[in-house]
Amino acid sequence: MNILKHTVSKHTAPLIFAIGAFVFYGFFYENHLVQREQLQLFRFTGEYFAQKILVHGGFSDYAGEFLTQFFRFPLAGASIVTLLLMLLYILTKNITLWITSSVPAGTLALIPAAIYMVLLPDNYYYISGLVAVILALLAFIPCMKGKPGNFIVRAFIALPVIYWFTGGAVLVFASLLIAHQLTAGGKNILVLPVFAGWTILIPFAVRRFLFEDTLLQSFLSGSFYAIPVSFPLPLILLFASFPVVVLIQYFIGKLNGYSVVSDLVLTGILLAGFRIADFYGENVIKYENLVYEEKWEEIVMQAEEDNPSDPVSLTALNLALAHTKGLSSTMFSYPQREKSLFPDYERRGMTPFIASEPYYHLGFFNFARMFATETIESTPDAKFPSRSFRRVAETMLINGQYDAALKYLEPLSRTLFYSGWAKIYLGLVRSGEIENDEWLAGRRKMMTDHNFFYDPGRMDVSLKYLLASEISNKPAYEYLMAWYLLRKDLDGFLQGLSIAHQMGYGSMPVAWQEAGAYIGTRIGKIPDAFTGYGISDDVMDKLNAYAKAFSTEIKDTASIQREFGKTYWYYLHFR
Amino acid sequence: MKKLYFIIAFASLVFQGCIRQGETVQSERLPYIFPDYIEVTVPVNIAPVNFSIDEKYEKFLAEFTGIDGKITIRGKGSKVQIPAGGWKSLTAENAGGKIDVDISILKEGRWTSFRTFSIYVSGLKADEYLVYRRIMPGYQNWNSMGIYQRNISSFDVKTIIDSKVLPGTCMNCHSFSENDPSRMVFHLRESYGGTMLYRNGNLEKLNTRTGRMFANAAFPSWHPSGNYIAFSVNRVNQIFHAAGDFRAAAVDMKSDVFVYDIEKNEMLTSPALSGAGKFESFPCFSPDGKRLYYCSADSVMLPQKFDSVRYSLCAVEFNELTGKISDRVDTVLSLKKTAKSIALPRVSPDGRFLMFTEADYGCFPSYNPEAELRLLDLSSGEVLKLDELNSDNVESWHTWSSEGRWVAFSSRREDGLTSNVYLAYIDEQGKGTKPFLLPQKDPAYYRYSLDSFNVPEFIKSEVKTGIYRIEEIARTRPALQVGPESGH
Repeated sequence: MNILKHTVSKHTAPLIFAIGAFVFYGFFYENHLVQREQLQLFRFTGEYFAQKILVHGGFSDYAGEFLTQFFRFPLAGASIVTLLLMLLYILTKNITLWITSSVPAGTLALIPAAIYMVLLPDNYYYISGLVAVILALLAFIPCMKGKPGNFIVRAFIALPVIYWFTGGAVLVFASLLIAHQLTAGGKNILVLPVFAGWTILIPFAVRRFLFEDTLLQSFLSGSFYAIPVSFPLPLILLFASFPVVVLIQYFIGKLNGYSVVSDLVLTGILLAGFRIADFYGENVIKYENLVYEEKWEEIVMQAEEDNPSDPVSLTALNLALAHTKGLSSTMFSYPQREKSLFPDYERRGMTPFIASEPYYHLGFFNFARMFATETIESTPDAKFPSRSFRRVAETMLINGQYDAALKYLEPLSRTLFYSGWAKIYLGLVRSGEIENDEWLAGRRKMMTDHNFFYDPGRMDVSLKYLLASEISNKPAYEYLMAWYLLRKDLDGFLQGLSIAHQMGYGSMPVAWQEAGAYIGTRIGKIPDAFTGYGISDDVMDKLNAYAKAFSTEIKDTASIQREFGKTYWYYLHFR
Repeated sequence: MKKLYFIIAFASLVFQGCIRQGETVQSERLPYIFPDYIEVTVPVNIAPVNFSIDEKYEKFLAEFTGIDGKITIRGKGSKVQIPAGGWKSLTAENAGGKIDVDISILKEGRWTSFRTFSIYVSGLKADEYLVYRRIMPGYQNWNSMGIYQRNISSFDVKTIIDSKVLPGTCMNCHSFSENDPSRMVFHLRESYGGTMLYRNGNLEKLNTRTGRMFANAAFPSWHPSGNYIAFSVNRVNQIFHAAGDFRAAAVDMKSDVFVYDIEKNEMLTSPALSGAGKFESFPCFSPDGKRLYYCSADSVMLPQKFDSVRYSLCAVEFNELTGKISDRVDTVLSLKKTAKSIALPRVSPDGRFLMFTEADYGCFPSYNPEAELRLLDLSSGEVLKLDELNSDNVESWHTWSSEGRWVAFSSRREDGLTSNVYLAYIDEQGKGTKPFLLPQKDPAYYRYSLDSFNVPEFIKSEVKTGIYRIEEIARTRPALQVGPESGH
């Protein structure tokens, strides 16, 4: 019974940890994982492998990228992360056992894995780093086993090899080596400064003779953190946690009650991690990912649930509305902002993927390419984002710039998940049959015949050019009218209405009627542009009620919002 | 080396006998190869001109035959990579002559030989190094870029400075005095911003923006004495086109020219170079140092009328001893005559020719697909069209090698997207030879590379200042403030 109890308790905590990690990454944080795949362009070519393996940490980087490409399937991503975390735990446990000759108390050996679990929700921390640490730990026991007399030689050879394969994880290896000497090894304490010096010397030598890099990167490599100028504190904690676990186990692990302390520490780490996880960001990324998959209905359903107000989600939502039930019919059911049609062009941080989407789906292919290129050129780690590569290739194909498109299609054709698409278009371009492609013809129909310039302040002019080239581009018209309404440009709105009949509107969308009714109160009659359509009695009655509330309850905006928050009038006066 | 060379030649003869057995069909056409090195003229010190054979085949045989010696290469892949040692000997032995290239392919059991083409080898060496900036196509953001020096005799590339060691920093406008690597200037923008001046072993960081200047110094040109550098000062806006294959256009909203007196650490100016109602840009000293060429245009409403801005080529006298810039402007080539816009004037080291870029409008020709190189004969005033160097896409950013016959320039002719470096020979009459793409070890490099090579500059030998020294000074030293401009 005691044996059974011991076995159960021994496996319960890791099991709960594994289930927790899987559920967290698979169901609460899957969109972050999915986006990780979009942020890289892993290629199955010898040249890509060589390019990676020729730099320190490159092997881990390669292995991490290889695994990350499967993250486009959320449960696959969650499974991979969970397995890696569990492998980290098992290795930590085994090394601690090997060094201290005692089974780690309680959940002590889970602490490094828990720290990594808390780090990985931040997309700046790579999966490659986790792989690198696992590789360094995997190498530890085989490298250290053997005749004591050869120990120094083995360590001297192992350190540069581990450095080359895992970059900064050599620090974990070296610190365990020192912990080993301070505890069970115990006989070569005098060589510890030599090991430490050797570990520090290697990156210096590499920086001096092999690669030009910052001092930080020459130590850490590109496998751990996406921003090359930063060495975040949590990473130091992670690296330190391995020798600390060993030393704690050796010195105080057998003390009564210690396992309770380690359980508490572990629980604290996980709770803190859960608290700092970016669930808000997760929701925003979900919208971005749904746009990528063109799941318009799902976006609208999602928005009905969480009523988004951030620029990325609203941009996605408006695009989805234009593709489904009509932007003009329902847009003011959501907390719109003046700039929720097209995100601002900012040269700060990474240009988000969503930035190119409205342009692409409306027919502004050059602008879509501009934003996609800006995304490529603004990733924090200078890696190629596959999503933007595909977008640039698409826009170049649409523009007929085939030679340039080949440069983006070629690397995409060497990937696991984009190769099918890329190879089709590579084949069409090379065989000269590209002009017969239906998808291309459909996109080209939306293109503008006129040249004009990107001017984020005058997108109405740009949208009119699109319509002048292709009057059936209904989303462009919806965007034009939405642009006027959001900018509160009622003159422009009335001008835009003049082609409503050409666009096939049987009746005016509610938001337009609301704007028309409001204009009517200013000019004393229903605007002429509504001739043939009219404004419904419901809208007029509601306007009267709004006018009454506005004049009597102007200070009680909450009450007005409750009753009229989804009308254009509320947007007009209160946003 | 020579011994090895003969071994290769001998081996190739033996090999030749056993590989091309059976009937060989002689094709009347030339083979399709990339890069195109057919009938080009190369300097004797150029690296092996490796190329890919763009044909369908099972095996190939490539023979490079000079009057003395021969190199034979066989293979199954598409890449013809010439052994460096053999190539060096072959070009040296045939300097002033030519190397005939015979390509044969084996397809479906039958060998086909294509028409022989020649690579002409000039005995005149080009400067040993090319310095360029490498950057991916972008608009306003960039991720990685750097200024590199490439030994044209080999494939060795060394970093002068890059964004890996100076993250978040833009680096541009590298320039040398008379192709001398010991006198270099370039700018850093954004993080660690400043102008880096390297002169005779000293490296300094400057803040070139003085009282009347509306921006930092930009496009430089060294005075041959090494004591002055002319800079343009530009306020540039980018505009993005909605249609067509234009990526973008850069518009000079405002620009002037200043001359920096290095010894006195002050800016010199003249009403001629910073006049109201005028844009002045792209200064270039003549090799004797007595004239300062630049481009000038009347200002118009921008960016609306960006495509009506046209620059003329102008010059003012410059006195090296006093630093005086004359007020009298000599319009060397007027837009009224060309109806085009002139940019990037560069005078040949012998002072005979001035090469410039001609576009329909504007002064950033690398964005204008129609931009072409032109050659002004300064002795006769005749403008030579240089059709042999131009293509149907952008040519710009040209540089003269110090001996005055070899030029390098950027062109987007391969794909319209990336700028690559081409080399060509200009003879005494101003006639050019067919340009060739700077060779790479992997001949497919230009097929997959997304890098653009901007502002190629010939230098006679390697820049010696190390990357970490530049990094350290850029990061840690406060920039030396240049003194306020004085008008002479």
